[in-house]
Amino acid sequence: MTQRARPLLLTSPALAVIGVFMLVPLGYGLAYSFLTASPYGGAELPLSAEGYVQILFQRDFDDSLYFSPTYLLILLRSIVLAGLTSVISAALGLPVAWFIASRPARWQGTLLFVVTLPFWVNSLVRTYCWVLLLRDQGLVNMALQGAGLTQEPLPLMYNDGATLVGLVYNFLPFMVLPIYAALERLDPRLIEAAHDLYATRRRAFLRIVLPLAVPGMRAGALMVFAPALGYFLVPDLLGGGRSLMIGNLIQSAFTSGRNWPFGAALSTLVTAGVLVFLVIAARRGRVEATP
Amino acid sequence: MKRAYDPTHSPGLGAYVALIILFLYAPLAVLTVYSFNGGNLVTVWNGASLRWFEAVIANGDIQDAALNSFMIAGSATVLATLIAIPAAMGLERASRRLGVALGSLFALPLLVPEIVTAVTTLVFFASIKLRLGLANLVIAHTVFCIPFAMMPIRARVRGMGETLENAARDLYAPPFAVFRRITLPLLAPAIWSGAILAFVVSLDDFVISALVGDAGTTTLPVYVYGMIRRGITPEVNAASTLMLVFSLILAGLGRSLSRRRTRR
Amino acid sequence: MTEPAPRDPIIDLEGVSLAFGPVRAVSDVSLTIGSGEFFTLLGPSGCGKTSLLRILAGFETPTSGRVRLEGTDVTTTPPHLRPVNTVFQSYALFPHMTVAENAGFGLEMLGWPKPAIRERVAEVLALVGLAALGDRRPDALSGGQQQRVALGRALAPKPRVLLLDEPMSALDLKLRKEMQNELRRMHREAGITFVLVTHDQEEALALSDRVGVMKDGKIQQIATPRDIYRQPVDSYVADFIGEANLIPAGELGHAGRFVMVRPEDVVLAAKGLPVRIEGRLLELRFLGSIVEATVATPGGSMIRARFASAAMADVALPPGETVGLAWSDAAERHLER
Repeated sequence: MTQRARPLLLTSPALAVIGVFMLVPLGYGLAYSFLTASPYGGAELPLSAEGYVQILFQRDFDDSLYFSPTYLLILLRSIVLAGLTSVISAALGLPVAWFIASRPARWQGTLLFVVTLPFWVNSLVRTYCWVLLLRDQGLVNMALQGAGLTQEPLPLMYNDGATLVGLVYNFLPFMVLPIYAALERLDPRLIEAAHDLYATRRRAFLRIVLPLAVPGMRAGALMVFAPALGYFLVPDLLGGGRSLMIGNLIQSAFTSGRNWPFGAALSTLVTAGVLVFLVIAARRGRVEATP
Repeated sequence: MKRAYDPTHSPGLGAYVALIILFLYAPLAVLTVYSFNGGNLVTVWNGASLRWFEAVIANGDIQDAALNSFMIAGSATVLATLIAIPAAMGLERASRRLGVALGSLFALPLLVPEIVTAVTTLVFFASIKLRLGLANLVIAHTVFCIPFAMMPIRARVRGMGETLENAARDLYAPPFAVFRRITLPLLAPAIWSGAILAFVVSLDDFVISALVGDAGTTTLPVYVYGMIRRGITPEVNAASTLMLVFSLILAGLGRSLSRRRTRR
Repeated sequence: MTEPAPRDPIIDLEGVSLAFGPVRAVSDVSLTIGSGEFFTLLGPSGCGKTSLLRILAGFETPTSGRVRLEGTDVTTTPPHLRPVNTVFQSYALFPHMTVAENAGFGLEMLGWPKPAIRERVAEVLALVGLAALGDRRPDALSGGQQQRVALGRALAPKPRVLLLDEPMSALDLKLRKEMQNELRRMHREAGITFVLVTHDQEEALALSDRVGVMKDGKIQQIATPRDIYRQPVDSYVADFIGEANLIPAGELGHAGRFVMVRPEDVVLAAKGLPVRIEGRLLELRFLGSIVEATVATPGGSMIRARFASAAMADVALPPGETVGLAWSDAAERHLER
């Protein structure tokens, strides 16, 4: 067995499984986006671009098309919310990662565990907690009313803000890891050297720590943006019908909406967008890494 | 070594981190406290009690859903881990370009939004008329469990290097003996870590289970989601807390395993 | 001057090259090692010596050339089928096995019966001086002890050839000297062929029957320690082994590239030897038992001379003085490159 063939042989079961049950379904999704919706779910011939058309246009009674921004707005909201989630989690997570990376080595593992532990909890449970907190009879409102600060419950849920909070809450632990990984290599003596050369604490941070952390933040943002974009639970439970994201659209297309081609078209677009975004970001990262 | 002026300690950083940790854990704590509420209404505290936990555990539908979850997670974990072991080794030993290509492929389940994976799998299974009940979900879960199982194993393979295996080969061990006597025992803790990771990820899954599964294959998260949709009740709180606690236990188990490894 | 091939060859490399893409780690190496010889491959990092060792062990297949072991072509034979054992630079002890289990691993793989394994392991652990530590785990041993286990493990299966990859680079100086003596003793007692790879020229001279100096994947010279020291074939070897003054030949009125003379052979004039060259004394350093003088020639080269400090006891030499340097004909070597 040559040295070159071995890796392929070893990875072939994984290749087969992911190839057949991941790539092929993606292909089916693409194919379905060009079919016509069957009345009770599923799709059938003839081929049609209706799935894609419906993203931007609706049909009038006389079958003429008119532009409908509804879905476009949802797409926009998804991109904005996912982007904000990435940025906010990166900003919140950076000091945490720096804190952990600058502790004595024996504490780092434990601290990291404590910070990332919530990530291992079911995302349903983690999202539901915020429902308990933010709903009209939720803890926050009860506390505010109990303290006499408000008379009526504040509408904390069923809006974009609640969705954003839920997204950040879900993804923050996941952000800390790559930033920490990037900073872990930092020798604290570099900071001491900087101070020896008259740098203030702030400047040392900006000139030494931050540049090192940026690749980690970028990697984390990438790994947060894609899943956040397609997130379903948070906008569903916390956003209600008023903060729909693409994930909700796709889900309803395949369930109550019974419009598989439309859902497939959306899925294809989202996937394509995400992959393009990742490729561009990866290439930029590689370009910046090489001097 | 205590310094009067420690440049790595910024004032307020510790407090900030404490706040973040509070932010992360407070909602979970709130849920837990709520689930001990003995009263019928979620909003009114009526003494601490375990009755809702008892109700949840006794609930037949929940039992079925939990059983489904465990069976799927168990099967998917075994399959994913068995596939992940050679995959991790192959990936780490591959040449640069092949490694990058393979690595990207194996990362697909993590990069593609879960909703897309779910619906395309649904479409695929519907097209080829695959109706194996729980097995459908086992297949779908295995796919996204593989990258998770691979993570700790890859790290361990990378850390191990080839020298130990070379030493074994130098000492007349044929390839299978090298794997059985050297590679496998040294990878074992990472394999267990990967398995636990995969298990947790499978148990926790909602989106794929909701869309790919059908009426007979409801998993626990899907069932609880249904409960939440029907209304916020004390049972929902209790069920959620049970899931929470179980996840924490598994995560702790995974951690104690990885700590034992590093002491070697 | 390269010696003729040994009479009883056990290893024969013929035109061996190893290329990784455009990089040639080993470039057309041919050499023969005799049975029972202690042969050292010497050179700086990246010169290809470790790659050559790996080819001998079977971890790399040469891109061209043949490797013969006891007459049999083993160029493509995998390591577990070669009667060759390796002591790795990092020792590579199996962390999940005891010292005894490590030492007996090769025997186990060869299918030896358990009682025979136990006996041989005891024998080998005694040979390396670790008789009482059989039940310990590698992480409970010191660096020196780990190295002995690695040696014992490699010697246990009685290989025809033992390969050692910079085995003492991780040890401190005192331990290293100790281990060098141990290694010589074990070589004598075991009577098998040793091939050592090192960048430490003192070690190479102290231990070897013959030394092969490598540079950029090629063998520069193979000779006994004495011959390689006294008659280096070029300036690279001359400079790598011991210390050498490489004087541009023109300054001494010779053809060729360099005239080499070792500092310990250079004396200050007025000792009855004809003055070879005069120069300005730059520095006189007291190094304990030795005094080192640095002299600048009119041509701009530095020549170092070393002599016993006792000889300088009643001589005063201020820097800046012009001094004459002398050496015997036998100490001088003309090098073409």
